[in-house]
Amino acid sequence: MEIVTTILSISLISVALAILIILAERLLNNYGDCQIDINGGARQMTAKGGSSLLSTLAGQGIFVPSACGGKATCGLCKVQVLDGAGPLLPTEEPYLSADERQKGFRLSCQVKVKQNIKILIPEELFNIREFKTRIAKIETLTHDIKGLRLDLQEPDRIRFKAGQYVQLYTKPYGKVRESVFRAYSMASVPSDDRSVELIVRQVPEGICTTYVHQELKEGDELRISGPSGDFYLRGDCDELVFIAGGSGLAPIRSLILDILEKQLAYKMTFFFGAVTLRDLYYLDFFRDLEKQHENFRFVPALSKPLPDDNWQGETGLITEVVNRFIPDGKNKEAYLCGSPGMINACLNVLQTKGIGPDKIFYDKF
Amino acid sequence: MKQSPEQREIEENLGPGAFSADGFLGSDPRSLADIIRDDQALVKSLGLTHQAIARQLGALTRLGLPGLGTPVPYGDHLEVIVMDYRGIIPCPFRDNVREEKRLTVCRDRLTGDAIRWTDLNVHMIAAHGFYEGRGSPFRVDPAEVQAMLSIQPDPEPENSES
Repeated sequence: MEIVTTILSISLISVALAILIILAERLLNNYGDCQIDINGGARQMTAKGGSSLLSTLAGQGIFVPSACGGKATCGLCKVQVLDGAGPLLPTEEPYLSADERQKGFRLSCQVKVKQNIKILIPEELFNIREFKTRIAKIETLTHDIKGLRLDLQEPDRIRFKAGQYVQLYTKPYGKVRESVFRAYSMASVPSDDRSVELIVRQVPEGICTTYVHQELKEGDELRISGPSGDFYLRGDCDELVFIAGGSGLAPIRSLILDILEKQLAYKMTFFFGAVTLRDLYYLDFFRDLEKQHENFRFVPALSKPLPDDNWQGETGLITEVVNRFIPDGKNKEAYLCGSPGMINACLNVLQTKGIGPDKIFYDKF
Repeated sequence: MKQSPEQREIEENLGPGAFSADGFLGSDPRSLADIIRDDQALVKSLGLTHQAIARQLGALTRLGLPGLGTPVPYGDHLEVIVMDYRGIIPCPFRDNVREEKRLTVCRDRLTGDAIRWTDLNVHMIAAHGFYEGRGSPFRVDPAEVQAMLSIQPDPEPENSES
């Protein structure tokens, strides 16, 4: 009898404690409605507290760029918080300079809205929209790269600068229980404003790229937001050097098509590097452009072509090929897109040619 | 055994769909603590340490990096290929470490055998003694690593991490 009483007592205490914890969690974590003041009162909104500033703003139709989906790994979602942010988190520190910390910059994905908050954000963020799209075409470009053409449904038009990116939102699939979003550069030309083209390379075990490569079908609906990014043409030069590898071709294609369409007078050279022929794509597309436009030169290069490739083009690492073709950096700007290793290697070569860091542009994601 | 909230979050991070599509535990029925403990014993039986293994894997990645995806010879019949991707992946162990999404493959040209690892593997081995669960796409098996690379043990024994 004593044992039964003891067990019952412990059970009752446990249940009481559990109820207490649930009640406390509801009371303590209920931040109620919070006021968000943007740009000194230019915009004011009310939102339910408890979520990250990034997702709270997205819920209000303000899409702060982020390439990692709120995991504090890209550092793109910085906003200036004047009041109400709470202490800086260790997860934010690697992405904020001393000057930025002093000015109150924070990663919006790490700031939880718990009280009224005052922030400053660039005006252009108000132009970022969320789009419902339908997948018009999925094309296999290489063994690990797919091209997507998305027809815009609502809104049905997008305005962007060549080189900018959109964020693509996944739906839960397979073992992935939450929606995630990642940034992908647009490969299409801005004048084609009713569609968006993306080029996506499969990252082994990548959540978003696996979704694109294995789950999506033509006709599916897909949510994107954009445009974002400062990788676009500056053009304070006579000659443009473009270097891409893998899916990095996307924004370069958009830039080149836009420049040719607008008949801008730049002399352009596009270096497209890969290991073997199976890693290259759009070869005929760019060779045709080269035939049609005197000011455009296309230099595809393979670092280790296979005998069966019968490759007649340039060989060697892309850095070696750029080194051979570019005599100097006079009046040149360079635009790079590809893997971090390729970008770092090319930065070194371009700087030895005299193209300064202020003339070299690349996306940092 | 009851888990702390931190341990629970780490196991959630290691599961499928959190930081990678299939997660880091694979089909392994063992607990995280058991996986780490068993691999610690295996590494010890090979006369190695986590640090010695991580150091060698990291050195091979650095050797292969300038190849930009092209094989770089190593020793008499091995070659190293490093493929990197855009993006960063955080360590699931909540230690604020972030690694580039980089994959290294070391292949024996004579036998065709290959082992592969990511930059995150190297960090998780060195810092957490974690080689991923059995059946995980990126499990690094210490015995396979040693069979291919013949890593020399550290001159002096290091403190155990277990």
